[in-house]
Amino acid sequence: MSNTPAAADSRSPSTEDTAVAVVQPETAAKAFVGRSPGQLAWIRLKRDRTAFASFITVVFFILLAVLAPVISRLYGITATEGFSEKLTYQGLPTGYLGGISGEHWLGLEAGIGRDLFMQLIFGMRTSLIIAFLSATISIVLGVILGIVSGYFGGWVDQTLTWFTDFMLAFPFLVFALAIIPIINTASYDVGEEVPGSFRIAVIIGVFALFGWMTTARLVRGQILSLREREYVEAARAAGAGSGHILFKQLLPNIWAPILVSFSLALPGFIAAEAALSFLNIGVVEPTPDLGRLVYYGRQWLGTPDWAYFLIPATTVFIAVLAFNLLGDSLRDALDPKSSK
Amino acid sequence: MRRKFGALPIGVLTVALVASGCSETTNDPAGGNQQSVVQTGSIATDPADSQGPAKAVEGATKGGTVKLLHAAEFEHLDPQKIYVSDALSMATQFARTLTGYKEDGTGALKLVGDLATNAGEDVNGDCKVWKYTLKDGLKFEDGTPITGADVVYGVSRSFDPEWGVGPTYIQQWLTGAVEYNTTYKGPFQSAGAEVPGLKADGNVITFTFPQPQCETPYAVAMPTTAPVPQAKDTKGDYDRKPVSSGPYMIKEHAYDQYIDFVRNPNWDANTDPIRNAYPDGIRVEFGIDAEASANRIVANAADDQTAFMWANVPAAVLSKTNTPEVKERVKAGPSQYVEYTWINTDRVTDLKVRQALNYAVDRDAIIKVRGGTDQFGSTIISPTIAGYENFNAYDGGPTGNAEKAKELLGGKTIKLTYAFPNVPVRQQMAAKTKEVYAKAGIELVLTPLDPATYYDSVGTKGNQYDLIRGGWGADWPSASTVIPALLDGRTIRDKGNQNLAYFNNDEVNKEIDRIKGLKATESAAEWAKLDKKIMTDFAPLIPQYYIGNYEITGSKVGGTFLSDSYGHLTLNTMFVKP
Repeated sequence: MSNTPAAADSRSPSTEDTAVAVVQPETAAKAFVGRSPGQLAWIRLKRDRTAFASFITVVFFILLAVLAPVISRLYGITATEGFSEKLTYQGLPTGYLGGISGEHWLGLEAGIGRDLFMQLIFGMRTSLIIAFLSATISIVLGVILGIVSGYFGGWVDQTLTWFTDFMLAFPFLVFALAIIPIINTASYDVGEEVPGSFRIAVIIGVFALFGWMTTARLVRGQILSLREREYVEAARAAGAGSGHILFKQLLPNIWAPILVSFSLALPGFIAAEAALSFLNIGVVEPTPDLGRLVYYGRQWLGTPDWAYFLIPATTVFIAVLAFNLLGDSLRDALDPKSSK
Repeated sequence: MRRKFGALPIGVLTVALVASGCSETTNDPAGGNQQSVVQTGSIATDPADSQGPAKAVEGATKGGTVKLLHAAEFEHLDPQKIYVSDALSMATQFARTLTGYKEDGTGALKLVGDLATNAGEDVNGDCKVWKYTLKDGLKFEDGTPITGADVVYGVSRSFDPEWGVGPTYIQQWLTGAVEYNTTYKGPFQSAGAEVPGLKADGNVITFTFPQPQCETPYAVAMPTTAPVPQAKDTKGDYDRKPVSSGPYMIKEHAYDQYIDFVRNPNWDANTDPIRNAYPDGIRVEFGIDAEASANRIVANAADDQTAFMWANVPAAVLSKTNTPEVKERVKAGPSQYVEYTWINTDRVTDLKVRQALNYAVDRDAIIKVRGGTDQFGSTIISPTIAGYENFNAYDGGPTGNAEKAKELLGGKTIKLTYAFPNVPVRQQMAAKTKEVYAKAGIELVLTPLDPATYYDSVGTKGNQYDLIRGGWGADWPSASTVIPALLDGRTIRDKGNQNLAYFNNDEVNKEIDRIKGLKATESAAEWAKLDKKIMTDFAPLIPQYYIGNYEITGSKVGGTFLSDSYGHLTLNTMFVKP
């Protein structure tokens, strides 16, 4: 990982040579065209069809989530509206494929009778909010701890590395199962409603607490190799302070792995959040949620309303896959030498 | 009971999709929330009713083995510890009691003498002294005769302070105190001492209560009065292998795996008015959850044709029971349990609001959330209780009447907290309830509580919940184990309340006292009247539905029906079809 393309201000001629040769062999004989590593990455990304497809999917999901309230208004149905009169006495939606119709595009939830499409896009909203905030917070934490640990070395490094290992060894799911209900009940008096936003904040907090370690290790490794470079010594010789060296000299040189780490953390959090809800410790009714939809839906597999399970499950699957593939492509584009 | 999320093989999935995917689901109104037969229970007055043998079941044959598929081991098999419906149903086959329920599946439940020659003799006519005479020819599985001393010894065991898991009626009535084991502490801790108020003289057992207890015949039908031979009492181990007094005895018990019951050679059919004991054996297999049991029995493979289950068919499997062949094997009906939403009358003091809440409730939608096995219910007592009368004091039709509720509220919008245990199905029901009340301009604030401490939280007086989810089941088919337990305001304590409406009304309390003093035969109709009065005048709760039973048998199981006493498929009349 020591050959990570450096930022524009510090690139060396050799990197550019290689990159140009790889990217544009037909023009290699002609005059050199100056391109920043960012531009090169973008060119590589554009040529990757998987990246393009997953990018479109990701944008589609993000748009659905962001525009959920608008879509709901146009669609004419809210996420919490019930249509029990359209269920049989056993709770199965009437009609075909779990009640799919012009009015209910993805049918109804069996039993409770809410519109599945609305539950899905509002659930997507919950999932993405949690995933984006968790990923952002944990990356920021990881970067700060990684830089500090790598740059200062000595007892600071030892302590932080030990702490990182400690947190990595901690069983996440067991901890989440234990701590989330405790925080929720302890923060509010008996009889007071725990607001949905607070439950979401707790989940984000727990995710962030357990999400920063890999980033911290990655960043620490990068910094260890970068801090001995000449430009850092030059900066130090010129009298730059630690803060300046850390954030102005070192950080811009490691943004690529950080971005990749961020893009790969996102699908991880989407899946983890769904898993928590599936275990009934995530967000609760009436906040829509993808994991809970899968939990309820799976009981109805094998009945005429199998769509209740398959639609949310497939949605989670596609979303996680798309975010993962996009992250992979991003990594390939930013760092073509890392093995596929 | 959370089920494991197993990986479903793709092949199975595909078949399921092909089989069920592309047909239209239509609403079959005929299959809707069927009203079941109404209970016409009574205590037998004709001694002939208590005499064996039991009336033969038409078409029944002897032989074969029936198989119960059960999720988990019975909590207890020791008769004095049993208090859960599955073990109560099982106990009928190995632990006979002084009285028992004779049923024929039409709802005509009759309390008769089982070990005793009749349902009980009220010696002085004041319900304070009850005399039971044992029949001749009763024997334990080892051939020793059952005497009055064995019954008294059985009852004495229920006083043990370290147990306290079985019913406590008899103990409390005998001592006249709620804390029944302060002086007499059972045969282990108070060895040699006599059980207060209980005497055996040969075959005659006499209960002497300080207060009138007119429902003694019902109370002694609980396994508290099952005889236990003192010489064979293995104390803690008795829970694994009790000595049988009924038609079946335990041959082998592999804890948490299976129990094999075989015929008890010393049981005499001529002494038994209740049990036919047609099969040669009963095998109980544990560790098969309701979903797996239901799927196996629906599939009806050769091995499972004699199988049955005591759990409800889960919502997911319900739609597979609709074909005529399977439907025939389903037994559905109400249980003794009723689901309520309590209205905390300390907080919601306005009667109009409580009435509006009753008008607006959309029971149809709520019942569908649980798969439609429950039945529309608007009374406090369930249809399995003697004297039950069907009425709806706030008739808004099956889906409720939000307009009428709005009218009662007079344009006000109100905000109420709703407490429920935080488990998935309750979350869904709460979301549904919130949605239903939103239509009437009533906003619910959902407060899911830790299921482990739920009843501690809502049972504390002065709690901050306006609406509280609850349910109650009678211990015997009389409203005396429902209305006084739930709505007698004088029982309200600081903690551990059952009266979750915190409802206290002198007029109702007086009426409870009056009806309690009546004979069991007269009180039934009076309880139903009180039920109606409480609902109409005070509306301290919103009855939601009668919790239904929906159980299924294999194609070779005959003669059985849902027992109105314990709510499960009865073993008394069950037989294996040839």
